[in-house]
Amino acid sequence: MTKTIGLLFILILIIFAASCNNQSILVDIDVPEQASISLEKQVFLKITPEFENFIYRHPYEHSLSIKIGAAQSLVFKKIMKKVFFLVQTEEPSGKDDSTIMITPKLTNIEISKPEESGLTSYECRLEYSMEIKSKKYAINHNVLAYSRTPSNKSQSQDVSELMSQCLRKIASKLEIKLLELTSEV
Amino acid sequence: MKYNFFLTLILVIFITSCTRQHPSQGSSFDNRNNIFPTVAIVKKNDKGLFQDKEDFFITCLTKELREKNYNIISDKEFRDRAFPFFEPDEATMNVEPSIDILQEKLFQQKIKTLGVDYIIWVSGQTDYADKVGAVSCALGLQGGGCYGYASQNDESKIQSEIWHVPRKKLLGYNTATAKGKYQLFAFVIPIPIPSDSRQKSCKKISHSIVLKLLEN
Repeated sequence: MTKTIGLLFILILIIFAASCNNQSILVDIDVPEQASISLEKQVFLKITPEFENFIYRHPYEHSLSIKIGAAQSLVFKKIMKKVFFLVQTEEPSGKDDSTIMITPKLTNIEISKPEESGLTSYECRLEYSMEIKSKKYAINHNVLAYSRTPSNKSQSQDVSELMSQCLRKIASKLEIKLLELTSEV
Repeated sequence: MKYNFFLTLILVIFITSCTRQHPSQGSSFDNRNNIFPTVAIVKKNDKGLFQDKEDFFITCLTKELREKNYNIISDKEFRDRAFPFFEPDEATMNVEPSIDILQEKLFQQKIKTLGVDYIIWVSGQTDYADKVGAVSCALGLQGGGCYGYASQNDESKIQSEIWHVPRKKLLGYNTATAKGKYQLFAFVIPIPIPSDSRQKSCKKISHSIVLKLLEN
């Protein structure tokens, strides 16, 4: 009986340790809520399931995975809602020529650890391409952000903070670019 | 009876300490005094790979200027309020925005609601010289103690750049340098005497910043 309990205890410990090892890092959003200029334009933000559920896995260290999909989708939704008067995330049923369709795509993501770079900080590089389509206009715009954060807490906390910073920069560039672009679209 | 009294006393202490744990959540924007100018103190990020993590200068300068009745907006609060502008862009060479941002129409609309009169960029660092002297400690059955003397010279530099927001003008740069010495005496117990170079340089620069603000 004691042996069985002991074995069960060890088994639970192993499962627990294994699940902890493979836990994906969650990213917090640090994008301020301040109201921005609402442009009198309708937008359909096309967020694909791949984009929303994307999980980054480090090419060499497979235990390092980051659930970035939900955070990046939220950033795009938040910025669109700040800039535009009406934002739809569901495909519109009727065809409306005045609607601008925006499709974001993550084109590049690089995360480097201090052990890889020889620096004392974690680094991230994010690149998104945004397809903006309207009746008379179609453009592909790229948004790039680089950030670094010193390694001083645990890996998951450092990486989470780093991604949060990187996404904030993406949000900032996205908002400025959209305000500039939409006056042309 | 005595037991109940102590229990009540402990409860009262606990409740009062708990209520003190939550300071007012209002931002400095809500608490500012409109008679005095509003200054945003913003930390200038380095272009180098190794960023200095010294927030001492920001904290110290904030305290110094608050004592002189200026309304101060902290780095985080200012960057949040000015979002999407004033985000350091490390992907390009221009880490922080240049003064040209004050000419940007979109930014002007944003800053109007903030009511910021001045933006002060602050950066600083402390360089340490080699340590001199030695302190040795020993522990035995009869007791223990330390003996010796060690010191380390240091030099703190703080730089500031002042922007006049309504006039969209750079008012100037200020630099302050101060030297100090960290000392550690040990006679049975070690007595550290921290260096005051950072404090001195902060006082110097706050004085020159106030003079510059008063001139304009």
